[in-house]
Amino acid sequence: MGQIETNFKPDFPVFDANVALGRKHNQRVFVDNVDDLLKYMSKSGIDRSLVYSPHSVNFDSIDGNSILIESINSNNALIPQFVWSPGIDNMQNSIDTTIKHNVKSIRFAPLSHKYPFKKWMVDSWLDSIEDNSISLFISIEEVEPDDIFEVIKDYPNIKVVLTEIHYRHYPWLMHLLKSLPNINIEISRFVIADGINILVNQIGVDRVLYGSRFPDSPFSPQLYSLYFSGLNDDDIKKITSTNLESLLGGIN
Amino acid sequence: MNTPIVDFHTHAGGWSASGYHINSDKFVELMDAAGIDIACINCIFHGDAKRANNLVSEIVARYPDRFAGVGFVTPHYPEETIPELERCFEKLEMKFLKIYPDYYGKPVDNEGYYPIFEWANDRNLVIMSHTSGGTGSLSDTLTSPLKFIDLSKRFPNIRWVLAHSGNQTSGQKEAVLASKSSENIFLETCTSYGSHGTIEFLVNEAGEDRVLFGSDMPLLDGRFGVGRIVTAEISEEAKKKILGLNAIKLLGLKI
Repeated sequence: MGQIETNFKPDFPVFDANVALGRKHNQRVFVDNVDDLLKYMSKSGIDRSLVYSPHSVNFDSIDGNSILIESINSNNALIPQFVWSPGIDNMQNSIDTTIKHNVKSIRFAPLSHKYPFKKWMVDSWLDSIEDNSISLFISIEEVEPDDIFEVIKDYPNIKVVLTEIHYRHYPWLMHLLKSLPNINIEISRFVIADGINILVNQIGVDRVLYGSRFPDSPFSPQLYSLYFSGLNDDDIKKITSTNLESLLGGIN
Repeated sequence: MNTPIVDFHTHAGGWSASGYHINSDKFVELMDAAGIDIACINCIFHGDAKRANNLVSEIVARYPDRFAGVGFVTPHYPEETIPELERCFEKLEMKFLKIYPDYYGKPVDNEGYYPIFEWANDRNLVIMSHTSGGTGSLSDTLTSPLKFIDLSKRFPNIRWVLAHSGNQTSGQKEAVLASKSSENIFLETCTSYGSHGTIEFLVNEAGEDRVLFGSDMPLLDGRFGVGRIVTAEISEEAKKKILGLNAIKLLGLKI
């Protein structure tokens, strides 16, 4: 008879790589403020979260990033991630603001920000990202796989994280990951059968990051899946915290 | 906690276009990893329903204690439908019927399905259909949960299971509305969207007796599916019912 853990809470450190913080214009999100986010993190056993502003993606990167910093108010459990919009933003201002707030990762949203993810469009921005050892997050919903390959292949030193990978991306995913060893994957939507073990076996545990996509999705189901994945404690810890810490330059 | 876990929604057959092609031994290994005792397994991928049902039957024969067969027919070959239904339920001992109107390209309330539904209604069968609602997609027009309100009135002896419970948040609201219209409408949980609060919403609105755990294995992982139930903010009793007790009662399974 099925033996299950109904009071599951992770007994390993968890640093969530994909959390949105703030209100959205088109819906009332389940959790839209710091206090409630911290409450749900605590309840679910999440120690820290890498958070970005949905306003930065949906409307304005500068305003959204500013709101994010104001909201977080230096809370150590919430690590800010900025969104840059290469089509409109002033690059030097973006870099200066990012460094000023000690932000270690940025997110591109080419589809939402209406620019093509092509080398002629983003090369100077990627040069800056590389020069400043910043990690780059991109939702797979925002970019074509061929564009990722053609652009990122010329930037092997940039640590890239693809988020929101879904089963419909699986036919090309492994080929891309094998072609570009600096690409990492966040697993909030990668819930295909045995998907975590497949990733670990094919690209190595160091390139796999736990993320939830909270508040659109809950924190716990993918953690539960990780807990019962059969991976050893060290590998689970890498996926749930240390890989992300490393990507952010040793933040702890 | 020890409680029987019955997965109402799993698939036989390869689907490499969506990333998987595994055999039944691997399937059982994944069930074990998730704590799933019995998987209700269907095959909806073949235009030839007989081929699909044979595949299911072979898997059930190989692991009779771990799988419950689920039948499948296609309305595109009406001349084959009733004989195949008879074969499924009188010879192959299938436990219920799965339909997938998205693949048929016909809305679930199209009259082309009526011979199937009449046959099932006469035998008090369970039918599980793919559902999708509120997204504006083609799938909505084919399998909106709201369509089952009239279907359950027209075919009152069928116990309808709405696979995915409408899938996204807007569809879940439609699925709950449908469940409130008839005690013969049940809601199955699997989805790759995994929106926050889904399980709690279904239990609070439709009732814990009307929700059935499904994983969509091997497209999705059983551990993720079980984890969605286990970590939901609902009572232990509700978790037990959803994970297996409701399915056992609905299908008359012996476990």
